[in-house]
Amino acid sequence: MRMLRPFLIAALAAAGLAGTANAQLRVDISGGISAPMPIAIPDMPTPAPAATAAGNTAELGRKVAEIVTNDLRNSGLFRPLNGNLPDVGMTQVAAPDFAAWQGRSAQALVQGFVQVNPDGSLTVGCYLYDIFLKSELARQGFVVRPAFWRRAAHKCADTVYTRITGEGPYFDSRVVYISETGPKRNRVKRLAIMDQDGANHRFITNGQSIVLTPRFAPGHQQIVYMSYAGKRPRIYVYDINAGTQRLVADLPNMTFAPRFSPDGRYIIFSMATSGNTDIYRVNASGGGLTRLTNSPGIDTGGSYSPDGSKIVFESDRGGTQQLYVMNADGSNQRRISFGDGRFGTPAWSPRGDLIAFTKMGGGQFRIGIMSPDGGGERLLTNAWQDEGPSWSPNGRVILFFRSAQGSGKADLWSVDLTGVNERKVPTPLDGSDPSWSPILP
Amino acid sequence: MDKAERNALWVAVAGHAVLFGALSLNLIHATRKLPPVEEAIPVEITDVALQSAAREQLAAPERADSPETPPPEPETAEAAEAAPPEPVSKTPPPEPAPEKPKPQPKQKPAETLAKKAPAPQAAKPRLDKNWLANVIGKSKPDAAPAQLDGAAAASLGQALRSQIKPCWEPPTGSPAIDELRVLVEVNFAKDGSVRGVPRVVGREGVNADNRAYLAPFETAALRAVSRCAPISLPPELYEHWKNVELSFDRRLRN
Repeated sequence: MRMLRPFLIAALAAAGLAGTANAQLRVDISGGISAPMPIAIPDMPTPAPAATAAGNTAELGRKVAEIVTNDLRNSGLFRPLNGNLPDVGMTQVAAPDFAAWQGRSAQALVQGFVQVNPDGSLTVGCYLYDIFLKSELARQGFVVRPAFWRRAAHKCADTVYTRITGEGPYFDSRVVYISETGPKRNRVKRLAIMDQDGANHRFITNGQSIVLTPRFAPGHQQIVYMSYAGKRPRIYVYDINAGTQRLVADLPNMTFAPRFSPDGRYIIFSMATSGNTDIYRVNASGGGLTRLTNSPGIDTGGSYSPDGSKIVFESDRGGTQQLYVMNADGSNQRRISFGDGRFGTPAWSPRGDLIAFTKMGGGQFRIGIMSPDGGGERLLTNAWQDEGPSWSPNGRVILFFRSAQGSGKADLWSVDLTGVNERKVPTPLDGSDPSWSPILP
Repeated sequence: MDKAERNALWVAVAGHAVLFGALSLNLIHATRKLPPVEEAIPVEITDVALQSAAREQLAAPERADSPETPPPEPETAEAAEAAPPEPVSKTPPPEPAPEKPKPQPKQKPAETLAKKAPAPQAAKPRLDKNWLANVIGKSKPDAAPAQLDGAAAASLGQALRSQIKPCWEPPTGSPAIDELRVLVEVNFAKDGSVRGVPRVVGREGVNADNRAYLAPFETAALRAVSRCAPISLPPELYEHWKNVELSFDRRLRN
């Protein structure tokens, strides 16, 4: 407050009193409006058209612009110009015609180029301009093997998004989820992975055993999940690079709902023993089993705060399913949700400021958010059955799955923190249990 | 079965055996290997061998140290961002002070003022300049700036505010942005256009929670001025609005 005092005085001066004749007029402009920013993203030229494993660079320049356009549009914070935009030559990439773009009522402009390097790699150049200020706001090049050209496009979109909104990046990221197909009684559930926008879709498991609740490790190279691969459901870790899965801990009871700690050292999960389910922790390598909760009833769905100091989880110890927070060692357990209805599947935002959850009540499952102390509860979706929230790497968007009334068919959706920008995420088959990766390197 | 048919049969049998083997292997391995995630290597674009035509253009603006830091072009918005944070008490404006402000300017009929004022731009019928001029009671156009009383300054300020505010679109991602405030100094030409480049001359309320939003916030403030210019204010009062300081924040007040 003390810091603000000079401003208050100045504000009063501007609002009320004249001062001397040569006093500079000072005007407060407060509030402001919020609207998607009109932005122009013309096709990106290439210095020399050349064939690559991913196609000709001229064609790639068009596709990169398309990916940047889709990313920014899907964020809900940008309104990419529609229609045919003028061709941009290489010489214009770093020297845009601001007046012409202003005439198209864009406020910002993304330009770039795609070229092949002598070693066969691609460079995608990415430039962000403010059309009204006639200035460059950001520029960044990305070198990738042709197979990863889409990632360079996402990186470009992230560069633009971050410079304009101040938020962290999230477009260059992946999603694991459970791909479902087949009749209700005999569903084939496979672990699948794809880019955040649905591209590069691949199945990881072959569907012989049911897999559930995949969660990314902080390093995005590993995925922890529950599988019925053995006699009973147990927790496995899949290593993306090695292509192998390993059992985390050989425990006598069914284990489920696993999650990594933010530093990757631990995995927490639930284990049911003689009708009582509690949350346990093991080292990521498997040893050092530690019991964190010890209450009658079901404690599950543990999710770490980003600093690793706390864990949010759900428990029915009070009679109904509610959210609780405890220290990472299991101490100081306290309830944080108190509204009507039941609360489940909590997920702590990577920004630390919010906890997402599924709220059950009134015949609906809805995705909501609250602060870690339980305040400010807000529901973001309003469909029949939305559940299983997972945060984008920047904590601005939530993935979840939505089941249709009747058929029970589920698919993946995303919603931003305003609750307004809700979108279906494309998957080749039905999908459930999404988990968003950290931002890729 | 002639020889060709026999050969074809063997090829088919061998092919099926290979296919069976491949499928069996796939079943044995419950999981599939994916290509490893590689780093998308960020590079400074000027380091990349661009074709010569583009290189000249690229070389013109100085490279920024990091992707987050915009290039330090003195004529751009970024120059202001790169400048060290200044205290709120900013340096006095460069405009020389008039020697003797007239204590009490003589009132002139509003009609005269109206004639001298240029026709309001069709696109911006935001302000009744006659009304404003009357309220302020300015006498001689183009004379040394007269003293504005409180109501007059407030009216002029309100007129300016109403013309810039529609273009003020700050970032919205965090409540911590409400703490931010930036001061922008703008020089207007008499026709209401912006002279030179508006610049950030002060910032306030920056903390760990909103630091990431500062650069977008400042750019949004500068963009607001550029987008909503030219403004339309009484030319008789030009001395009072040719150099102004705009304070931008996101709090809901006016």
